[in-house]
Amino acid sequence: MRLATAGSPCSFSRPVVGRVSRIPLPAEGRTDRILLREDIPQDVEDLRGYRGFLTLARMHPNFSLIPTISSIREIDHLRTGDIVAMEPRNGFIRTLYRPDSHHNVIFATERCNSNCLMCSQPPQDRDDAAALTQRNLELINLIDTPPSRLVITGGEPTLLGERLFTIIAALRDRFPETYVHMLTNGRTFAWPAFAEGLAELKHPNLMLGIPLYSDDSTIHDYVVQAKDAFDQTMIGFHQLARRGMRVEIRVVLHAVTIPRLPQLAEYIYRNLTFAEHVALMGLENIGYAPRNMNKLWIDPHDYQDQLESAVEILSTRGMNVSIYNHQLCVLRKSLWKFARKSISDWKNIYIDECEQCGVREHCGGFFKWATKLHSQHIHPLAPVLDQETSPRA
Amino acid sequence: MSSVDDSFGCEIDSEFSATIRLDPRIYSKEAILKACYWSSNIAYIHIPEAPDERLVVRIELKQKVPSLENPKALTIGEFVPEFCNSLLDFELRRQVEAETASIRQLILAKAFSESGVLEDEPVGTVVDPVEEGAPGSLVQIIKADLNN
Amino acid sequence: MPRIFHPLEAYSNSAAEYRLLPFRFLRLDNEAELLVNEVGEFVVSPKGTAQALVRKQLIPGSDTYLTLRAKQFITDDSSSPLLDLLATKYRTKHSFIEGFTKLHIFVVTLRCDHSCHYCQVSRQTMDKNTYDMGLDTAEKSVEMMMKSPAQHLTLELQGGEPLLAFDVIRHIVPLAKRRATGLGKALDIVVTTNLANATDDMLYYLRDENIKVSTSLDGPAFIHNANRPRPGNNSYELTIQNIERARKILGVGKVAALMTTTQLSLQHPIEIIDEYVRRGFHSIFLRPISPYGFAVKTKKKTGYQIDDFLKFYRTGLAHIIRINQDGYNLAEVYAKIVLTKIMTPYGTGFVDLQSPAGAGINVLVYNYDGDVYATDEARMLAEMGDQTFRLGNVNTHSHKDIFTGEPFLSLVSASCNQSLSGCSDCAFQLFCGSDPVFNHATQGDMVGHRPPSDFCRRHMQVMKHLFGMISERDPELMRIFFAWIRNSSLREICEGAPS
Repeated sequence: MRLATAGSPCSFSRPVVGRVSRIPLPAEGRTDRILLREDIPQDVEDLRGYRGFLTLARMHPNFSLIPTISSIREIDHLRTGDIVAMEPRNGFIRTLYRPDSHHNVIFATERCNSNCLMCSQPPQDRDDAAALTQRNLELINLIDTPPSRLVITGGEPTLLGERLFTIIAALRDRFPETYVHMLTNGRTFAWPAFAEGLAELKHPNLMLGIPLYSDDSTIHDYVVQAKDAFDQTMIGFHQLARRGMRVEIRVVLHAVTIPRLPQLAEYIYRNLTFAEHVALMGLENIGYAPRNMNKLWIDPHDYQDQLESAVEILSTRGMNVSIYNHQLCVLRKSLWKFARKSISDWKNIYIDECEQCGVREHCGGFFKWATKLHSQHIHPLAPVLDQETSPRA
Repeated sequence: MSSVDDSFGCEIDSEFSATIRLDPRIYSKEAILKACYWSSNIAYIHIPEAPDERLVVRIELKQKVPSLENPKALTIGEFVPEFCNSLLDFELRRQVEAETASIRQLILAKAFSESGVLEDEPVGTVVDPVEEGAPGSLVQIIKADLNN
Repeated sequence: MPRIFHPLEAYSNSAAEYRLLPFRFLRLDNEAELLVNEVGEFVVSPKGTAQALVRKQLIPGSDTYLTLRAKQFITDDSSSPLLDLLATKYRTKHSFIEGFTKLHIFVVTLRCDHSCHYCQVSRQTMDKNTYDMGLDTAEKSVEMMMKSPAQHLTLELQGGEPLLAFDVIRHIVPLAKRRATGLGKALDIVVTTNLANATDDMLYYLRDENIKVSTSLDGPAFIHNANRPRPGNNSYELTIQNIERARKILGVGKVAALMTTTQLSLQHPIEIIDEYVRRGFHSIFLRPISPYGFAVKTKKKTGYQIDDFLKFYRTGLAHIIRINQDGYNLAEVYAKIVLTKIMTPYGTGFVDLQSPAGAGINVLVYNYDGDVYATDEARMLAEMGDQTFRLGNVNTHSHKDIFTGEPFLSLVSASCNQSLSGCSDCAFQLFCGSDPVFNHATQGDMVGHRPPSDFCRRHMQVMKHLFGMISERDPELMRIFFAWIRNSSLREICEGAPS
């Protein structure tokens, strides 16, 4: 699933955010729309009133008076209703929002104060806070039908400071029933004033997904490559819980986190009992992960003992657990009930071995970059008749 | 029973009594008294004045004959090793107490104080290179004093 | 500036010696030790761990080291000791204190038609006027109850046999409900009764007012009848009939049974437990008899050594676990209480095993004559002439008088096992409790002497036994334990766990 493309920009100097329309619209309906055509209209007046124009065709730079990107590489992925951002300097067209997707994301910033060994979105030390916040607020304004859920991610969203609160307040006001899931390392919330700032917004439907990689501070700090991160995150969890904020714990499973996984489960139960959910997640081979793979790789087939032990500890004590990003053929059958089809549609694939598999429709499959690296034990399974062992979507 | 180090010496005096000599540099009086406390049900314990530097502990088992309530009474040979384990344990506990008493006070004080009043400042820093170069609203917020 | 990756060692700093955080320990047996920290985190370790730990001989980076650091037994310069986290966990463990007195026991009458050997209540069969709670006293008692800051109150109607004073109950219940609602408090009501006098009308009333029933079932007929004599010697048959009747009208979940152990009971743990299964009960409380009331006078029939009780308990618990493994849901209540304290971050509201002791702080007893006692046992002592734990009277004392009076204050000063001789060093301290009333009754002093204490021996031995079972790490056994802790069934736990 493509989310970005590029072409030749002209007639604009500031980023433009608007809704794509493949069909021409009457004058009154053009204000926040970006017209998308394979070709160029005969009459330049046909472009008047649109917020922007996108075309496959080559175009003379002086032809259009509105923000335009021409000679675009691909446009097949763009549908009417999609919200895109047009970049003036490099001609990038980023899809910010797709109404028919369940996986829409508000990308807060590329900045981060951690540097996780396996980060799937490596940080950039560039002050994009103002520009991205502006873009995101415009995006929130352009969404017309309230989505059922939205994810706020980055980088580290809390680095936006006050701007983060502005975004969450806008979501609260426009879409109070939308479930907002914010991914954050939780460290900033160790400072009570920051936790208070978020709590004061009283967003009615907000969940914070915060990673914790070990019961051991040294191992956690090593995975996230930041001193004092464990201490800050633990205190952050408590400052949030004390103010009634909802939290979820996320653990990426790899060679550094697997050895003490059962101890982490016990630690979570004793110290973070208030967490609504624990997500145990398979490794994504993207971002920093490939270059650190010698420290990270362990075949999921080989850590089923630790995984089952951790799930046993959490589930028998009444905590909600899910397993993400694991294929059913490498997951012990006893754990299938915890597996979720968690991979966002735009990065989800199956491989050749899956052709003959009888449980493919229940299985979450792979990340699209898993073709380079995945378990040695992928194999098709016979169809499962027993409803009780079928994993839930 | 004989000791393996000089801090400790034991003589079995009779079927029901024994004398233990302890080096007071290793075994504190507190540990000895606590070990005695727990044995007071089944033994009489005397700690007489000693001429040398050792602390003397005289033990006499209370129950000398089997009874209906207690048909199998403890022998002195069983009692003394138990007592010695107990001494060692109480000495360790004393050390733990000495090292952790003030931290324990602090934990309890924090537990019973109002939210936020006795809390530690967060450790370390949370800024990224960009914030470090140009502090913005993030630093402003986290430095804000909630009690203002 | 490009970011670079640092090795594990860059985030560690165990070069300097580690420091101890508060903890206690004891030897479980010849091979294993139990270490418990100030907030109930524990490890079962090989013999010698405590010594190595205290003498700073633990190997930095070893599994034991990392685990003890994560569980907050030690701290070093790699990270902060997170004392605020310890404080939060301490608060959680002790949250049962919040709200102050939550259980209020009303002795609505001393009259009773049974003559149970072990009865801790002095029985009066006759004079209604003298031995029933007067309506004025009842009202004042309800007022006193409502003075408690607790958001959730439990009203327990007791006696003698409370149903003999049904008119008093009918007066108390609506009043208590009205006052609770007015103050925004939740109110649960339970009546402890032998059900022998329960008419259908009474049962309908209990159903309509949402009052739970707690009755006595000591075991199969030969035990129950021997324990609870009655003209006609049919206590058991009557009890079973009445339990069925009560279940039909109130619902099975609203009728609970408690057993009392006597010397006869001690010989038959299996039969008693099987009786509970046969009658469809899902919890049973294996407890010893308190040394109060008539029990002291009839000591020959009911007196026994704690060791005999422990043997009874171990056999009973093993049998109960087998029953659970075979698919029938049966929780042993004492184990459930202790396991909740051991295996979860929480404490429990069980007033007989708390520190500070539940007496007064968590439970209060209002006698038929208006006298206020710290516990039911305190009241029984008064029946025998010992007024030590009489805190006052609802007709002459205000709530403030009760809780600032000399009897309560001296009771409280002996209530915290953290500062009692013997208990202050005990590894089980957080899971155990203190009982100044018990100490006073059995040893003549509220603080008590630990080595001969039946309270200490019983709890300590059962806890050792339970820790032995926990350290086996048997997954099925742990699932059974968590079914008990979570008021669930083994089947439900298994459905939610890997399977």
